[in-house]
Amino acid sequence: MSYGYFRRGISTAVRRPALAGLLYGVNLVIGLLVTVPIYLALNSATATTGYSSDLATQFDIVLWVDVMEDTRPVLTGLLFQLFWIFPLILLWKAVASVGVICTLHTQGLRSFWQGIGEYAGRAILLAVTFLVPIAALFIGIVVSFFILSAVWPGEVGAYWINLVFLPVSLVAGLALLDLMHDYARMELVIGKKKVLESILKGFSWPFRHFKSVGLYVVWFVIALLLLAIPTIIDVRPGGLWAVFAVQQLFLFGRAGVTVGWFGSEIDLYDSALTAELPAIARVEAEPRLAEEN
Amino acid sequence: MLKITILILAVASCFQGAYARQATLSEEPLSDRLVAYTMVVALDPDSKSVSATQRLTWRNPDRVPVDELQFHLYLNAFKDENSTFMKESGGIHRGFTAGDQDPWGGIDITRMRIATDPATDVSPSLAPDPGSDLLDRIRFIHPDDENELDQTVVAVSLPYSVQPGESITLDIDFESRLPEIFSRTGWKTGESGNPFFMVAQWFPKIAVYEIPGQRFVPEDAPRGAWNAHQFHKNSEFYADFGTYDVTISVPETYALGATGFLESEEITDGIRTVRYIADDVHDFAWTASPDFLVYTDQWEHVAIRLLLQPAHEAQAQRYFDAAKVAFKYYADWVGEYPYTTLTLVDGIGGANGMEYPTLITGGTVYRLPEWVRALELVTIHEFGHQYFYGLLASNEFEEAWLDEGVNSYIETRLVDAEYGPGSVIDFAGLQFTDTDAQRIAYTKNNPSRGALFTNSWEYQFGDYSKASYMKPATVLHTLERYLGWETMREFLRTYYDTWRFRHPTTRDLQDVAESVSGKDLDWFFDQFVYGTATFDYKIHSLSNRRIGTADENDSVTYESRVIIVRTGDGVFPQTLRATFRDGSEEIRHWSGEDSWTEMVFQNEERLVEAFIDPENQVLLDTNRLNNRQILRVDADNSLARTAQLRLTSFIQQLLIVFSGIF
Repeated sequence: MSYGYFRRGISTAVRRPALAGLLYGVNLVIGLLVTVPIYLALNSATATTGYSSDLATQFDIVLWVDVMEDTRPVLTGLLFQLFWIFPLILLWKAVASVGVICTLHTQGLRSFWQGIGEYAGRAILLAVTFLVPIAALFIGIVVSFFILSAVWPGEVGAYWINLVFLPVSLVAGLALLDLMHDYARMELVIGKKKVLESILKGFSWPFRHFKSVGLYVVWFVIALLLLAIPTIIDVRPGGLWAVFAVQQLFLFGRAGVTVGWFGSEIDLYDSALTAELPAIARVEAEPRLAEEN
Repeated sequence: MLKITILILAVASCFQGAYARQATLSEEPLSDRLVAYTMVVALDPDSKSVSATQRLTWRNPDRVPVDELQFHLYLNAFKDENSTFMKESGGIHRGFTAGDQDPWGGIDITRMRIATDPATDVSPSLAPDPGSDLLDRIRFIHPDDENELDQTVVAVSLPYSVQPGESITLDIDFESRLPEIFSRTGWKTGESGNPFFMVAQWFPKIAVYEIPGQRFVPEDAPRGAWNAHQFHKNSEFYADFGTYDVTISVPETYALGATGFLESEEITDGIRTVRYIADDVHDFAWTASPDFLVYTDQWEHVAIRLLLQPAHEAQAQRYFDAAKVAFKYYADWVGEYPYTTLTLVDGIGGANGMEYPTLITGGTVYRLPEWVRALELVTIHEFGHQYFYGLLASNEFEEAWLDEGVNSYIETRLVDAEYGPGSVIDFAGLQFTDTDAQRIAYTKNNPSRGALFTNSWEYQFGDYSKASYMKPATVLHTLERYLGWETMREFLRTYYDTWRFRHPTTRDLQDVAESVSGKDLDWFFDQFVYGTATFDYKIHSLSNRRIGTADENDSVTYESRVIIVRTGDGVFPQTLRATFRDGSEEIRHWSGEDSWTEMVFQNEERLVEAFIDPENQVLLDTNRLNNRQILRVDADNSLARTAQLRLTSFIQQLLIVFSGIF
């Protein structure tokens, strides 16, 4: 069962708070990069209007439209900032993943940054290559959308296609590709494979090792919950700093989940690899296999 | 308890029975009934057409003879791409596009003659009578533009004049080919594959003959004139009141709803034949579909009938609830609903959100959440048209705001009163009202463009909706706050009582407002109804200066100055509330006429806040944020800090989701 991998993933996350802190910190810095200009613009627009505290505690669409009108130049400028922020995030995700895999797999013998230093280029190449199946997924979903819309016209069909089929197929498709991408990275870092071979191994991984799908789903659900809770907390006005602190706690927890998630997957990868080795080579791995069973 | 229930039911059934056989509450005519239509109609679902025989009686209201009649053939707007409607709309109306299967429709008059024996029943097949035939006397006219190819208005010269007060009766055979619906009328295939028909603007409809003194025809004019306009993208309708007696045949499996009340119904050889009677109305529309689910309910004297698409079965009660809310408020704020029926039609696509006498089309979507009140809004709005379009019947071609705008004002007020601060959307702490939605749609959308008093087809840049719905609602909300609600309500009731069935104009509405309020409102109407004035009053600055001690106790006195600036060409009286450090307040009033003013205060405390329009009475102000200012030393970053912290967490979440893709 996947339980053993999951449990070891949890213990990995607990043992590596600094790694989680690093991932969380970068995430927070990028968030602040975007929101500091927003703070300045809103402060300039509202601080001396007398409406500031009213608007902070209750929604008034008329005043908000006036505020938006006033802050439009800053907000428009921020939109343009996304052109560099999003690629940066994607690059960070690509290189941070191999850094995490490297340090977790070597039990900390090699640092996160050493991992990045050794595998960053190939990890980026791997990530860029994965854009192809992602694009194919989107195309496939769009084609399916048109076919379904033709087969099931009308508002009932539109409801199920737009609100159920599209999001479910998108999330499921992206999750499957993400799972493949994770194991491709492990093939690259742990298996020392070349980029193309890593990709091919990554694609075949969930079909060869179905446990990896179950493990992914468990972590996915936990990650989703940790991501949803800050939103749920946010919807009602309340103690601002307290809410923010709780949200950040959950977001830190979410970063910890990333570490634990990788930890579980690395564990599963190692076990699967060991199981595929010849009998003599398995001797060293038997204690772990026994524990799993 | 049981006895009481039985008694109530018995009384209720008697009450219903009393009105079941008549179209209005009154035994007497409520309107001058200048027209009377009797029609025998058959729907052919296969050819998507309606063949009909019409007997029309028209009475000459003028003091001179009339030798020409004019008719609307609205359906010819969909005859081809050359009609004025199609040229103006480009085949797109209210977000719906002309159907790709068969978008075209139209009316063919195959026979028109003066009835030789008006006393007889209308015949489905007219005998030839060359002496009284008018077919060759029909000619298309184009009162609004030079479009020779538009065929939506016809003039018919008569072989003899209709004398003052006399009537003429015509027998007309016509066939109406229905377009695939994209603008209110026609057919559409439903979810099940069965057709839905919304048969509106479907028959040759005599125009309004305005007599001297009526609307804008001078009292001393030698004669009246026909007021007929072509069918435009941005216009609705105008017609005289009368009676309708319409017999409709549809396939047996079809459910049908129509203007008026159901006089009789029978099924013979697979054909359902129904007869509807409507009195004191100015139009007749009907709908038919084999898919309709039919529900009935009652509100006081009104029998409500709901024709619902099967996919919306779960929302039947929402329709009835919304209709009853509308009945209650309109009766209280405007006046009595005199008809005995209301048919709610849950149509398809472009047929939805439209009003006809005693019949309205609503509109919803499958599984519409409760917190989105689109169904309620559209039902209440369309019901409100029963008053402004239906009973007051202003000329919507020339003064659309008198219907759409006044109705939007009542709708927003009603919806906000009934559903509260989240009347439009109430989700996850985000609430906003209908009044706010209309205000924003006006003040943030080129507010200085588009006067209320404008011919509908002359609006440019898409200003029709803003100037006919949103701006009038905001203008009337501001007027209400200026006059006070009780005066406003009295004005609405008086306007309705005085002008129902009489086609009031903007001038008539202003006269009633002035007479009820006892105020000269030229300054208001000239700026915001006839004109395009806008304004934004803002606090330019506030400052304090210590000017010495006030008394022997050595308490300090401050001289505080507030400068208010007006931008825009509009003027509106303003109220300023000055708040001092100790919480004391002082109210000052300003006419708002100058481009700026300075107000000086002397107080033992510093002035800490200046607030124009603190009660939010002047909804026409295009920017409310700058109405209020506090001292810089009291600057408050609550909003900025809250927004920043919340956004930071949100963006962090977004980044995690986004990075999951890669």
